[in-house]
Amino acid sequence: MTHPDATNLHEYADGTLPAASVPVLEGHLEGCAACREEVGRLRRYLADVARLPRSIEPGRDLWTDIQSNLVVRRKRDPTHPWTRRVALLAAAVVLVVMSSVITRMVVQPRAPTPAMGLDRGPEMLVRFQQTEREYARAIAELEEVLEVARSRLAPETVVLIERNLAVIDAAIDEARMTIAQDSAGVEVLVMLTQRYEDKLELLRRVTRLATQS
Amino acid sequence: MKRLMLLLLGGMTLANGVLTAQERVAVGRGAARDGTIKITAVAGVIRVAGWMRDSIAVTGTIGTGVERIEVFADDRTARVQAHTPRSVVDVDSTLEVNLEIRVPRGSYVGVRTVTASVEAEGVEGGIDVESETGDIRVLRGGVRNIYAETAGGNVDIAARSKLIRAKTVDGNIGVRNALGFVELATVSGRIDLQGEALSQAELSSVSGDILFDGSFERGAFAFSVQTHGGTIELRLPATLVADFDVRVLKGRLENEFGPATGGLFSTGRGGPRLDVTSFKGRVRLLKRQ
Repeated sequence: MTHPDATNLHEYADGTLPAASVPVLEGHLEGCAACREEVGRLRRYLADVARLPRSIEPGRDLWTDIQSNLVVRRKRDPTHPWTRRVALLAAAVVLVVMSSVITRMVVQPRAPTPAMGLDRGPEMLVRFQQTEREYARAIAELEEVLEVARSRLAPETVVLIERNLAVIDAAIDEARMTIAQDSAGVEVLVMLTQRYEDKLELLRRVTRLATQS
Repeated sequence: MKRLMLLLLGGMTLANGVLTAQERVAVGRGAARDGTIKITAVAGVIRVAGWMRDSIAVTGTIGTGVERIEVFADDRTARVQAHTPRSVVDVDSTLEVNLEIRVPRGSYVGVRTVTASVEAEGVEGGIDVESETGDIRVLRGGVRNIYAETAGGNVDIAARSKLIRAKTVDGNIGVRNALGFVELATVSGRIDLQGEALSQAELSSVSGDILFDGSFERGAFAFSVQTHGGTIELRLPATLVADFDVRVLKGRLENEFGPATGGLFSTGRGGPRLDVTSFKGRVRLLKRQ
């Protein structure tokens, strides 16, 4: 079987393949699970990339400027809903984590595990612990930003955010406990990673809201 | 334009006497038929409706805490902004607006609010709504893409679009008539997706339930559903051909398409891949009647 080249698969995945070539490629995909999987993987990757911040401004340290502005501008400023400064910092933090985590967890094909409870090698656990540290650092930085900005959110919004952060933390604790009991396989690591992603995403969103409102 | 202004004035007259504590507004301006329109308001209700004219018309009322409605437009972009005093800290009823905003049908409309709910209809170019706690509704018609994000509000999408992304924190997300690509995410809200021609979907929650009732277009690729503790219920065509990857760690699985233990299984070659992952939530894979 002759497989389509990578360029065609990429173009198909992101919807830029010329229309005339689509039926041929789709015909191949119908009978080729490997290429189907590859396209699915690319689309998941593209979807993850699409979730990344739309823009950041690298190359200069924004934190000092942001912090001083936030302290001065604790009151709502609804006439400037598209303020981006803190969002840029949050974006940068997320980007740092995503760049490593996506590479490790998302871009790599899903592990061909037929069931839960597969063995985890020490190397994987060590690697994951490193990932966890990166998440913890990113989360701590975002929480610090949010602490400064939270007074600009409505009180009821703060309550709902805290309530849902607690939901995510409880899920993280459950997953970590399962891992600690050594009764879980690589899938639990993936689930735990997703929960960290959920927490990062929520912190990033609420930080953005705080700077917009 | 004269007729437009007469209509606007007529609308103003009809509203008279009902909203005595608020100021009526009626503003019109020319706009590109497929440009970008940004709308901002703090609280109240925003209704956006596409129409066949190359103009923007804003009618309705504004609270006493709202200084003015500004409508600005150039060749490609327009802005409708409810200005409020910079010193305002808390959102209260004086900041509420109740606006109907007519925009050219082909516009791409972005709306930002704090607590205001947003309802859009007949806007074909695209809709991008972000709110702190307001509800978001996208009604009838076809829209190129829809992006809806609210922390505390609900999202309800009935319009057809080939690209839908919606996120809440604890609000519910309902999408009907879905087709193409759909990505829905929530922490503790409920996701309810219905559609008959999906090509790819990603649904995720932490504790919220996820329901899907629908089918896939020919050539669909991936359908991914994952939760930590919510219930997942997928009602799929009884004859669905697909490759399943179902992983339920601590929850209960009810599987009418394959083994009761889940794992990797297939109902035939050439269909989409369905990944279903749950840590402790119940999972039900049911055949549609």
